[in-house]
Amino acid sequence: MIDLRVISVLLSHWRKHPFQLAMLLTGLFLASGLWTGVEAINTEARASYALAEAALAPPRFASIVSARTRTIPVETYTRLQTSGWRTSPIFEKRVRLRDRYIRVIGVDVLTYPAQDVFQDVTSQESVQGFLTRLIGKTGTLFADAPTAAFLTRNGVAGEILTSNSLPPKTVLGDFSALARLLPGSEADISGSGFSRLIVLENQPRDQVPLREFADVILAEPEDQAGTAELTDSFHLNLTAFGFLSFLVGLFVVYGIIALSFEQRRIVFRTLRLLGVSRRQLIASLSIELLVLATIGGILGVIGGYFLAALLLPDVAATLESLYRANVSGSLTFRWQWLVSGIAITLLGTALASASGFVETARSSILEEGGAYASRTRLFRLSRLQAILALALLATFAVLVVFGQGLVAGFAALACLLIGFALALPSLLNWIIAGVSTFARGPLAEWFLADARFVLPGLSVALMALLMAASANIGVSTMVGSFRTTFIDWLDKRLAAEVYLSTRSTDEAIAINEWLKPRVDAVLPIMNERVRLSGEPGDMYGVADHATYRRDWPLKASTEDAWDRVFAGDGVLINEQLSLRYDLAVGDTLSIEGNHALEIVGIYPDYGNPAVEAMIGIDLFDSWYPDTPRRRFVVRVDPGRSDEIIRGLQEAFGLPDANIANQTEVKQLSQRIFERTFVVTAALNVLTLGVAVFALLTSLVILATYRLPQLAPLWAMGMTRVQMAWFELLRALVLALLTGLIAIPVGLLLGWVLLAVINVEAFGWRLPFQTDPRDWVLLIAYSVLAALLAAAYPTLRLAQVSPSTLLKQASDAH
Amino acid sequence: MSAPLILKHVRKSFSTQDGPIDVLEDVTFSLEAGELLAITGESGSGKSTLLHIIGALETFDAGEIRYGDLELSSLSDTERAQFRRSMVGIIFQQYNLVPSLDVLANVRLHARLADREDGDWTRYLLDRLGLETLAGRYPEQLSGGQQQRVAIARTLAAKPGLILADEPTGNLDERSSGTVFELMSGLAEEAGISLIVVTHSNELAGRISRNLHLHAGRVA
Ligand SMILES: Nc1ncnc2c1ncn2[C@@H]1O[C@H](COP(=O)(O)OP(=O)(O)O)[C@@H](O)[C@H]1O
Ligand SMILES: [Mg+2]
Repeated sequence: MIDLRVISVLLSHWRKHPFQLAMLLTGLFLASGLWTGVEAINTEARASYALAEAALAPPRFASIVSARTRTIPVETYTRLQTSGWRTSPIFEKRVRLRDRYIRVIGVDVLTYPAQDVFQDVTSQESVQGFLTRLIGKTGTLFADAPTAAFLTRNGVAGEILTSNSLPPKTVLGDFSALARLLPGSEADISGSGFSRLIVLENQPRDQVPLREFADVILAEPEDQAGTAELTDSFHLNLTAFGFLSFLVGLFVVYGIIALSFEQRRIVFRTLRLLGVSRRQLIASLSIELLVLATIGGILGVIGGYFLAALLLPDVAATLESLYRANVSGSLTFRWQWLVSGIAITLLGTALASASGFVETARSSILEEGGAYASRTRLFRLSRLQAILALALLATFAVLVVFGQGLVAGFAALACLLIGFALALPSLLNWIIAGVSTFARGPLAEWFLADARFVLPGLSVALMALLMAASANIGVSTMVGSFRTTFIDWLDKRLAAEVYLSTRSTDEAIAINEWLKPRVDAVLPIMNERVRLSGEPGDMYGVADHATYRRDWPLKASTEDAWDRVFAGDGVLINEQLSLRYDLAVGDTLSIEGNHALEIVGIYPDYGNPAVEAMIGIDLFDSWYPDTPRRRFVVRVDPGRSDEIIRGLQEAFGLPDANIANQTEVKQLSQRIFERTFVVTAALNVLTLGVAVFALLTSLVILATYRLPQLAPLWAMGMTRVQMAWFELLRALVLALLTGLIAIPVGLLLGWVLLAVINVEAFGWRLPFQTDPRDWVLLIAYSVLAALLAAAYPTLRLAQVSPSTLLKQASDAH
Repeated sequence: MSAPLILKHVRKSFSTQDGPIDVLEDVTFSLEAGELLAITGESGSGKSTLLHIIGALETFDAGEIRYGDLELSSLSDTERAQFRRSMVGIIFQQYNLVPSLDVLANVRLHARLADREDGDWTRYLLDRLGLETLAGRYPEQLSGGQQQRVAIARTLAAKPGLILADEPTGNLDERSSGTVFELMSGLAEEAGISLIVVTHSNELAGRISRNLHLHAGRVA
């Protein structure tokens, strides 16, 4: 069945047309590369989160922390131990080594609950066996590979084992091992004490209650879901982009394959004439494409890897500072990228070549392949495309109205984008035909008729341009909306300058006393876990202050919302609660404990997966009299917040984690957002680059066909330079029209991302915000893209030798 | 190598929008191994259709065609391809060269597919057809007459038992058409290959010993 002689004849086409081959491979490379790059960034980041959760501060464990100071003395630990508390002590510190902060964790090897971290990658030895060996040998450190290498490079002596289960920039070891990283006295646990004690599972029943120990308190595992949701949104952003870029790259592949099939019709025919069966021909073509797609796919995976490696430090910085998620800035190659990259490329190539295969399988040896036949075939193809486009757009409408879930959202996205791309040639045809009726003069008429004539040859590239341009508008609308809304929201939500969480009611009272004369206001925040509309959530109690009345963002509200809240006569709910239970202002919220209140406002609560409600503090106290006042927001002149924080730390020994300087957080968030957009912008440029490339491909290929059509014009007295100008002008006009069509498509795309995908993924809806300046810029880019792409073929045409033109003009065609 | 060809009561009709048209009503003739035959007839008389049927490019409705031991109507799609590959050579008015292969590779193509390459014979053909200086050129760099000579060389190089040529010189001017025709029939005869050549030129047909005229779907 597989005949190498047949394959070599097929391959000779690519040898004769190396430019086409380069374009095909580049198309495959871009599709698979952008896909893999985004995939790599996503998996790397997700793997880091997963590691952090699994290995460190496992969220299901509560810990015991000091009530007043930063650490727990060793004696307290021993006292707890003898009173029946089964705990595992931990010492944590951030250490600066060269230009980097490393998180140093000292643990008790035998009791530490996340034993996976001790597994050395190089040895296959069981955890238990390894531990037994380790006890005799103190001072072993564990870190992930890059951190281990970094430590060794920077003079940390002794054995550092590579653990697969540790997050980046973290080094962990037995207490005795800390001496290798910390200066003398600091490493001495008997002097400094422990940071916290992890409360292990299966505590004995007869233990002494914790409240009998005055100096320690129990800290419940922190709820980190909020961060996860926000990072998810960042990744969704990237995934959407990767997906869109992949589609654009695939269009280039489609274009080249279609062209190569078209140009090889005579080869297929000849081979069949010489006794190669239809099946054998199809099989050989499949093998040819399989090989090419695999090569392109592998190159793409490698390219994608480098792209990811290039962008990852930015991504890592973004995620780390914005969401406090630890992401390794360096990338480890994963085999599954290669597999998935090649698989997706093969799948894409199969899709892109399907119509060529069907056509080849159906064609008869005797069919005449004249110009007329090829034009009727093109016409049939364009009609088929238009029908498919309508079907896809109809599917899009159905999915948006009736679809549910994220998959339906992404399917809608694909339908919208591909639907409009396929409809583009027909749309352009209509527009030019419409303009033609007003055209005066033979040159204008010829120009427009000619533009329609070459449209089929350029359509794939223009489709790619449309996709890239609308993806750009869509994603920048989403990102822009995200940015403005989020920053605005952060601004209001973090209106207070300092946020405090005290460790006990006594401390709360003392701190309150201390703060009162020094700041503008100290406002308590109380919360209680209760069921809202039957779902477990949080009820907040807040005090009457301008912080809320003036700054707190509300999406919808009655006019007297805050008056009613502080009068105990109304409740505010977060958007998640409103969307999930279809609650609007004016409805009644049922609250656990047989309470019910009228909803007077709804506030946006980005990044929070849980339902929430908010009432005035008086009502809160009457409903939940036992809830302690432990947390506060402090209003103070922003310039003085540092001073207040220092004062609090000195006077009460409040740990860092209990004080948040919101001004800093706000500034940081804004800076970090800008960084996030560096990544998006980079991908933006890449997608547009793909489109320029597609356009260049088509124009160069078109130019080879154009000569016979242009030669008669030359013979009739048009100069070569004039002809070249017309060619350029035509490319620019088509790109301009495509850019114009991209605006509504892109806005629709942005709307789907914001109103469908975001809501499905996160449960909140961002307001739609778009900047017309972006559109103008994009159209400029499209035209610039066309200019870049058309420059080379145009120059070549302007310099084509008269003898070539003469040959074309005089040959009978 | 060459084998006798026998056609008995071959019928062929096409269904068109205006109803079926009977192209071949009853065609019967035979050809001995190595024999040359010219078929003439008006345009539309079914000459090409007949050639396509003999070359297993087209099926027929009734009758019998035998080539050696083979009965054409009983062949599957793959067997028909195999038949074209190893037993016949087909030359059309269009030259059907592979544009991405140079002259030499084009000439060798059929022989290689049929596993019957013979270097001496190929060189001899290139020489006789005046192609040896063009061996490294690509089809687009050749004139029409040169391209057709490449197509003829390709067919002859594969040493099929039977060559079917449908107006092979239709695209050429009168003088080169005569030369190409002479070369083709002369080389086929020399190699002992049967040849059926369709032409509307009585002058060309006259250069071949046996002629057959097709009229109204029958051998006149
Ligand atoms: N595939 C086809 N479908 C319908 N009619 C056909 C087909 N091929 C040939 N014909 C018709 O059969 C008749 C004979 O055609 P052809 O064999 O090409 O004649 P010739 O080669 O002698 O000019 C013509 O009327 C032609 O229109
Ligand atoms: Mg004919």
